[in-house]
Amino acid sequence: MKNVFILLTCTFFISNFSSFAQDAKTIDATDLFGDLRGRHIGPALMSGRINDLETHPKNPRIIYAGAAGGGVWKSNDAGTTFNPIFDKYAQSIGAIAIDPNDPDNTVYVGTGETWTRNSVSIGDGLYRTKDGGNSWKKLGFDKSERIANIIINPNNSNEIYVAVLGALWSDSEERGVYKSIDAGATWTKILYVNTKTGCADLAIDPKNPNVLYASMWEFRRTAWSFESGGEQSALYKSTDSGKTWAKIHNGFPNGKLGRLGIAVAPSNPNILYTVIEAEEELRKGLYRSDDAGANWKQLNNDFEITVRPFYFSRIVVDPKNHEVVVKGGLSGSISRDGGKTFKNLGNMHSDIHDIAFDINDSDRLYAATDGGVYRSWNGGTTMEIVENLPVSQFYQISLDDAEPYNIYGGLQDNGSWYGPSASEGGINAKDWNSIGYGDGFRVLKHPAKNIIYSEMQGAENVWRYDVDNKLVKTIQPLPLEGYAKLRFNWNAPMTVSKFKHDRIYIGSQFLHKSEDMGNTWEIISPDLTTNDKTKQEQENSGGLSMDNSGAENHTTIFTIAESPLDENIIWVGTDDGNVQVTTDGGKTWTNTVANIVGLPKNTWTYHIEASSHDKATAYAVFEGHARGDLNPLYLKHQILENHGLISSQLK
Amino acid sequence: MKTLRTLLIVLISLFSVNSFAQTAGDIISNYFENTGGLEKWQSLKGIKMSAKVNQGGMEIPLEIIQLTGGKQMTVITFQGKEIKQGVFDGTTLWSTNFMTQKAEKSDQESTDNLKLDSNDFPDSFLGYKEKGYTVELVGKETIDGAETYKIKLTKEQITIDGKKEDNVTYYFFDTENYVPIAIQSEIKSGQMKGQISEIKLSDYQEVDGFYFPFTMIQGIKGQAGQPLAIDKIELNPSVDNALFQFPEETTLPKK
Repeated sequence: MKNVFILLTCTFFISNFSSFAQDAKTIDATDLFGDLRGRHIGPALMSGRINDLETHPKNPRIIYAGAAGGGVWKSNDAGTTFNPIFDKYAQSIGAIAIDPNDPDNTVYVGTGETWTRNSVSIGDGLYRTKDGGNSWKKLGFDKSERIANIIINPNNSNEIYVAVLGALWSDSEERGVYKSIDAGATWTKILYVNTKTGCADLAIDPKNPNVLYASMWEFRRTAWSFESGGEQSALYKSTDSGKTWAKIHNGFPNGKLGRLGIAVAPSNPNILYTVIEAEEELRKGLYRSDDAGANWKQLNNDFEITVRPFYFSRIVVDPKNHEVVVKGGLSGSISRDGGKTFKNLGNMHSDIHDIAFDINDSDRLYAATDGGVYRSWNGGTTMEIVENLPVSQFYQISLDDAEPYNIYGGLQDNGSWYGPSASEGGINAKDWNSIGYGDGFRVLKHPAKNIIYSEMQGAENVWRYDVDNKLVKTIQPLPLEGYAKLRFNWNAPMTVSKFKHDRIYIGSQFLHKSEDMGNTWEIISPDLTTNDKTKQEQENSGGLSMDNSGAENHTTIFTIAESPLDENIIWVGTDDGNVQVTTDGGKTWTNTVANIVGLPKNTWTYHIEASSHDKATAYAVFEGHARGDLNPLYLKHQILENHGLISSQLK
Repeated sequence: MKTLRTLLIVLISLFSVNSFAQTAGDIISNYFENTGGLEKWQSLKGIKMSAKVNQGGMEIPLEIIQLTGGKQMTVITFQGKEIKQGVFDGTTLWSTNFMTQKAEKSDQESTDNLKLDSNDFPDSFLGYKEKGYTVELVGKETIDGAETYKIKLTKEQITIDGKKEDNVTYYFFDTENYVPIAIQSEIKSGQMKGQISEIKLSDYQEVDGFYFPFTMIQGIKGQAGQPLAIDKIELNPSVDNALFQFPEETTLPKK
C-alpha cells in the first residue's frame, strides 16, 4: 500500500510539474512507468473550475470548455456530453478560440489559467488544431505561463492576436499583446508595458477588425501576499491593427487601477463595457461607452460587479442585444437595461468565470464556474449542471488498506470525497461519497475504526465522520490562552499515527497532537516556522481590492511525517523553508534545513516522507514556484544519527 | 308570532348572506366590513409592523413599513446592524447587500413590476374595480381544515425576462369571518420560478378598530414555511421620507 502511495505521490508531482518539463533532465512519466497506465476512476459527481467557454460561430450544438486543471473538452450536443480533446498537453487552460473562417477544424488553445488564485496552475504556450481537435501543434509562447485571449481576424485567418497575461509569481518579459500575420509561424510583440504588467483581456471590433482594445494589468503574487493593481494598469485602444495604442480613460477613476475586463457589444461595436478595479472605492465597477471608448460613464458598483476582480473580471454581452450584459462573480449577474441594474444568475456552484450565449437563442446560456459548466434555458434565471465533466482538482489524496482499497481526497472548492478503487461494472459517480465542504484537502481514514477525518481551508473546520452511525463532529484545535494566534496553511497538514490508532497530528505554526481522535489537543512544539512577521500580513493582502480569504496564510507547517519505525521521530516541513525533527515525541526539536547543501533559503518544504527502512532517513520535496523558481524539484534525503544530524543530497 | 318572525328574519338574512356570498365582490365587501369598515380602510395612510423571525434558533427582529403610494421597506436588525430589504420610494427598488452593507438597486424589471402595485396600499382589493383588477370566485376549498372561498385576483400584466405575463393571485377567505387565511401565487422569477408561493395568515387581532393577522407563515405551497410573528402594529406612523431614498454612490470623477 505504501508503495502505491509513493507512486501516486510521484505521479502527482510529475503531472503537476510536467509543464515545467522544458529540459531533457526532467523525468518523463511515460518512460518511467512503461506500460503502466492510469485509469480514470472519477470522481465525476461534482466537477471543477472552468476558465473559458467558447461557442462555434455557426453550429449551436458545438461548445468548447477549457478547465483550470483538466484540459479542453468539446461538446457536440449543446453541453449534454463533453469529450476531452487535449489530454496530452498542459491541462491548465487560459483561452480557447475558434477560427471564424474554418470553425469546424481550426481551434486555438492558450494554456495557463488566468484567474490568478493562490492554488493556480500554469500553461506552456499556444496550441492549434486543424482537424477539429484530433492533433495539435505548438505555436510558441513557451514561457507565457498564462494566455488570457486569442483573437483571429474574422476577415483574415492568418492574422492572429494573443493576449499574454504571463507569470504570476515573478517578473517576465513574455507578456502583453502579440500578433502574427502568418498564421502563427512568427510573432511580434505589439503592446508591452513592463515585466510586472500583463494583458488581462483583449477584444476586437467584429465589424472593423483594425480596432482592438487591450486591458493591461499590473499584478503579483507571493507565497504570503497578492497585489492587484498599480500605476501601469490601463485600458488601451488601437485603430491600426495594433501598430499604435492609446489609453482610453476619459471618465475613468483617478488613481491606480487594477484588473479590467473589456467587452465589445457584437450587435453594436460602438458600445463597450469595462469593469474596473480602482483605488477609489466608490468609482469601482461597471462603465459603459457608447462612442467606442472615447467617453466612459460609471453605471454600477454593486457587490457582484466589484467582487474579487482577479477572479471575476469577465463581461459578456448578449450577441443579439447590446443592453443585455452578464458579469462573472461570486454568483454571476445579468443586466437587461444596459448595465444600470443587475440581478443574480440562478443558483449554481459559486464563482462564475465566463458566460457563453447560444448563437441563435439568447435564452440559452452557459456558465463556467468553480464547479463545472452550467446551462440555462431561460436567460440565466435557473441553471442546471452539465454532469459527468470530471475536471475536479485534488489538493491531496490518501488510501486505506481495504480490499478493494479506497481513495480519499479533498478538492478545490468542491469538498472532500472518498470512493473505491474498484466497483462492479466499473466505478460510477454514485460510488463516491461526500465527506466535507468548502475546499477539501487532507482526508484520512482511521487505521482501525470506520472513521474518516477531513478538513476545509485553513483548518477552519476539521471534521471527524463516524461513517457507520452517520455522525460528524467538528474537532479542529481552537485558540489557546497563552499561545499566539494559530496560523494554519490554506492547505493544512494532518497525519494519523501508525502506532496509536486514535492519535492524529495537525500543524499550525505549532504541531498539535490528539490522543483521542481530536476530542482534545495538546501542542507539542514551539513555533516551528521562521515566524517572519513580514510574511504574516495576510489580512492586508489583495492590492486595490482587499482579499482576506486566508489563502495567503504563511509561515505555517505544510507537511508532517511520523517515522513508521519510531513513534517518537516526527518530521515537520514548513512553507517558509524549515525542516524540523524531533526524536523524543516533541520534547525537543532541531531545524535541519541548513544541512541541506544547495537549497535556497526559505524554499517551501512541500512534502516529507519518513523512510520505512531506516529511521534515520527521510525524503523531502522542496518547491519554489511561489517565488518564480519553476525549475528545481529537489529530492533530498537526510540522515539522523545518534541525535546528531548530517545530511546528504539525492539528485 | 314575534319569535317566529324573528326566526324568519334570521333565516332570510342567513339565506341572503349565503346567496350574496356567491359573488366575489360581496366576499370582499364582507372582508372590509368585518375588519374595520371600508371608510376606515380608505383613510389608512401607513402601517408599521414590528415582528420577529426565527432563524435557526435565533430570533431576528424586523420592522415592516408600508405607506400609501407604494413606499415600503423591511428593516432587519442583525448582529447590531440595520439591513434594509425591499426598499421602494415609488421609483427605485433597492436593498442592502449583506456582504458589503451597501445599498444596491434591484434590476429594472423587478422595479417596474413593483411600481404597478404602487396603488395597492393598504390592500389590493381596496377599489379593485377602479384599478382595473378583476376578481372571480373560483369555488370553495379547505385550507388546514377551514372552509374557504377561493378568489382569483387578476392585476395588470407584469414583465418577466422581457415578456408580458398574467399577474394572478389566489386568496382564500375563511367562510366564517370573511378574512383571508391564505394567499397563493406562482413565483415568476428567480430560483423558485414556477413554484407556488403561499402565505398563511392567522391570529387576527384588533388594532385601533382594524383587524390584522399577527402571524404570517411564508413559504412554498405544500412545504413548511417561515413564521413571522408580529409583536406590534402601528397605524399611520410618521416615517421620514429620506429613509426610502437610494443612497447614490456612483459618482462623477473627482477633479
